[in-house]
Amino acid sequence: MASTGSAGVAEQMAGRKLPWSEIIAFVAIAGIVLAGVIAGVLAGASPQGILTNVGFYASIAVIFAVLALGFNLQWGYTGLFNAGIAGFYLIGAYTMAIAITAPAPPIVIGGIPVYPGHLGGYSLPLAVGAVLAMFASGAAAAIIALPALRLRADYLAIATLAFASILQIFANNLQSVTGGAIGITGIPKPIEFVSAEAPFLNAITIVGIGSAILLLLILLLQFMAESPWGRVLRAVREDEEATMALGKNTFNYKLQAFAMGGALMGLAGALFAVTLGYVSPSSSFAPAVTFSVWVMVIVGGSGNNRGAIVGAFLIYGLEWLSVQLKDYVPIALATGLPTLRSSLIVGGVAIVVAAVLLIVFGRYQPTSIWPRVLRKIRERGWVRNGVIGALALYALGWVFVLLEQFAPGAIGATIFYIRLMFIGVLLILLIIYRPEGILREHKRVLR
Amino acid sequence: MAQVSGSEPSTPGRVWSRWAALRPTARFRRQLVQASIGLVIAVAVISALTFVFGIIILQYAMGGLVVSSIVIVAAIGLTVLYGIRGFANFAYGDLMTLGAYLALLLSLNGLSLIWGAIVSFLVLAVVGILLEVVIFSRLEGRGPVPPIVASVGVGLIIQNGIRSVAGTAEWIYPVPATQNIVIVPGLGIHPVTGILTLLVGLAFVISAHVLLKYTNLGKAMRATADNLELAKATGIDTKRVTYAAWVVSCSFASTAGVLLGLGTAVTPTMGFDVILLIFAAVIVGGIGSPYGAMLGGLLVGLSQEMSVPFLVWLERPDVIGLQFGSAYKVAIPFIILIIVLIFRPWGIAGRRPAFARRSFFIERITRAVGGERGAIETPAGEANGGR
Repeated sequence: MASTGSAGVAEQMAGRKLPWSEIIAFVAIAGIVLAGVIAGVLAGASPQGILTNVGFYASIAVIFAVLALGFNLQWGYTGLFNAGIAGFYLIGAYTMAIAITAPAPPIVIGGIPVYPGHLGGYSLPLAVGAVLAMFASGAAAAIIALPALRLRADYLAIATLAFASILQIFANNLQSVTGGAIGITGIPKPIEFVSAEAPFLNAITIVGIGSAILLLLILLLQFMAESPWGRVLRAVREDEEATMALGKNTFNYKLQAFAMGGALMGLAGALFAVTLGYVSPSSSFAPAVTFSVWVMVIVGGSGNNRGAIVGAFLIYGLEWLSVQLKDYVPIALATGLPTLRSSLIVGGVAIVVAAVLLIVFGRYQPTSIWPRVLRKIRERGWVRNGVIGALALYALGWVFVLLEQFAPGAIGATIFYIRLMFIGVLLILLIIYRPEGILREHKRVLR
Repeated sequence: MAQVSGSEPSTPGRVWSRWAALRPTARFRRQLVQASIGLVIAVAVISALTFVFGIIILQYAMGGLVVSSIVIVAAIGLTVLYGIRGFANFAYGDLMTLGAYLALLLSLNGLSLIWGAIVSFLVLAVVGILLEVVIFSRLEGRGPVPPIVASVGVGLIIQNGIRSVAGTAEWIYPVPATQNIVIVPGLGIHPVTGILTLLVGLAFVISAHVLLKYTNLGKAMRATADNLELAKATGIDTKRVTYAAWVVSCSFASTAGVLLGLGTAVTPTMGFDVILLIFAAVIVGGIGSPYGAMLGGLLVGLSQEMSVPFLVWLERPDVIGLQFGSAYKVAIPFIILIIVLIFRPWGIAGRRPAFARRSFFIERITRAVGGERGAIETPAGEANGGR
């Protein structure tokens, strides 16, 4: 969403490097979708079923993108660190569910309460529910931020983390409002289809609505970020005291940004409720959601709205793909294990030979090609990173082989946890080596 | 100071000045008065509650003390690191889980639980140094948020690594099953989960006190937590102090994890579930202040456990008919945390920063309502007596 001024596009593009990292990100997203489609074809799903599945990916990725936009407004622009994204998400989802469902009385079968019922059942229109969800989450964000915003960033992080975990406990136990562990079911779709193709049509409508909302949001957020208001937010992030000295009431700006980010998270919750058709205090609102959104925003580059969306599609894509491939990984490992092992051994020999060549010839035969290769590895950052990445992949291959050797079936059973560990590794590596994000530098000159 | 005046040679007061160092200072007297007032209030509250609810409240108070002793051990470890490295270690709960699982692994392989706890204490100390060397030393001087993000990453790796290796099932430590020791009818205490936990907690509090007050390392740690630049300027090896803080923090985490596992069960999320309680204890006590962490842990643990009878009372249909009232007890530390953040963000035992406004939150409300603008008070009285 770079603003095109009066200068021609060609003049703008002249002297500008190709955005390689963005191209790679888009190719990676396309590859994820393609791999999911291939997995579906292998499983013998109908074309419509595969499309429904891809539509599910897109609709959930849109929800994560909205979450990432909200967090980006809070952290990327204003520097307010929110560790309770899942909490505001939960408020939005439950508000939406309570507002738009039909009344659900408690169900008692044979004296045993089966379903405790839930608050509301107002059958409001979807748009009204979404606005209510945004309002509720925004208000909650403002209330939690009031005492914590004045203090250091880590107080806000602790307070929001605590808020999110308390909310999950309330959702689980405050049965008369939230429906307890079962949650709220029967949330109406935007359009009720009655044909046999209803899941497919539903997925299409949800994706359509979600992308329309996303487009609107990114236009709005980009406008806000470029406006004087957004400039003050970035000034607060860079140096709050200097901004205060300029006569800005930084507390109010921080409060507004935090509440707006919370409202966006509430909107994501509303979308979630409509997309899945039910809400329950399950893993959908676990702290892992918060951490995933952090990864998305850091990957995309904090302070970069487009990056946040790309990061959301990428990181959620990995999660979706891990679910799609869950059934294939054990089979593939069982059948391909000997091949993998022998290729790893050959690769290991190749690595050793290459290392010996590099070191021996690099030292004793300075005229050959190897010293130049060695120098390139030392000096060129991307070559070095490529070598390190290849070695890491190689080590990962051995981990897989050894795990499968000694604990057969463990990888397929624990793929969900392995994904979360991967997110943890990604968080650490990104925050150490690329805190400005993979996609683009977010720091620009304040105009 | 008494010592300075006493060092003057051959004055008439020389006879008793040998004991001058032992004379209570004004600060100590003040603290003594404060502590006794606090004790009297606590005893009064507990007796009043006992009068209202019956002997059962003493049982809850006992449970609260046990929980507090676990929380205090953990909170001391967290706050020492917080004070010296300046970031909130969100992986702390997962480090506790790791310690508990290490002790479990050893105790399942033939060692007694005590040896398991000792070995896991030592292993976690090494883990702490590794964490600092590999990850957190690279994030020094980049503000509080990047280390928090990295620590969340560490926590995710530990928690899910445990899940994928040991599974998600609950484990129970192999301890002999014994009955509660009955003190008076209606009030009992378990010899392992009660008395042993209390004793271990007390031992750790005392050892932390000795370490911080009577060793050079402890003095260096307090100095570094107080003012990093000044500590560096006076020649303290702050790198060594940082490693020592990691060792103390992580080894305390392992013991807190073992105690926690003794009290309930060993699960992959046991540490993450109590991290909020520990953060509340640390912030209530004042970040970086181990003595504050002790006080905060006591306050938070006691109030969480003793709120149960009240929450159960709320369950009665003629009150508000709350369901699962005792599940909300974990919200109590959060409420205390918010109250402290509003009125005393530097904690009940922490030192008020010199620039803190007298009551910024109330001032903000009055300003919003339409009171006079500005009026930033400088805490003049605090500047002298603040230390």
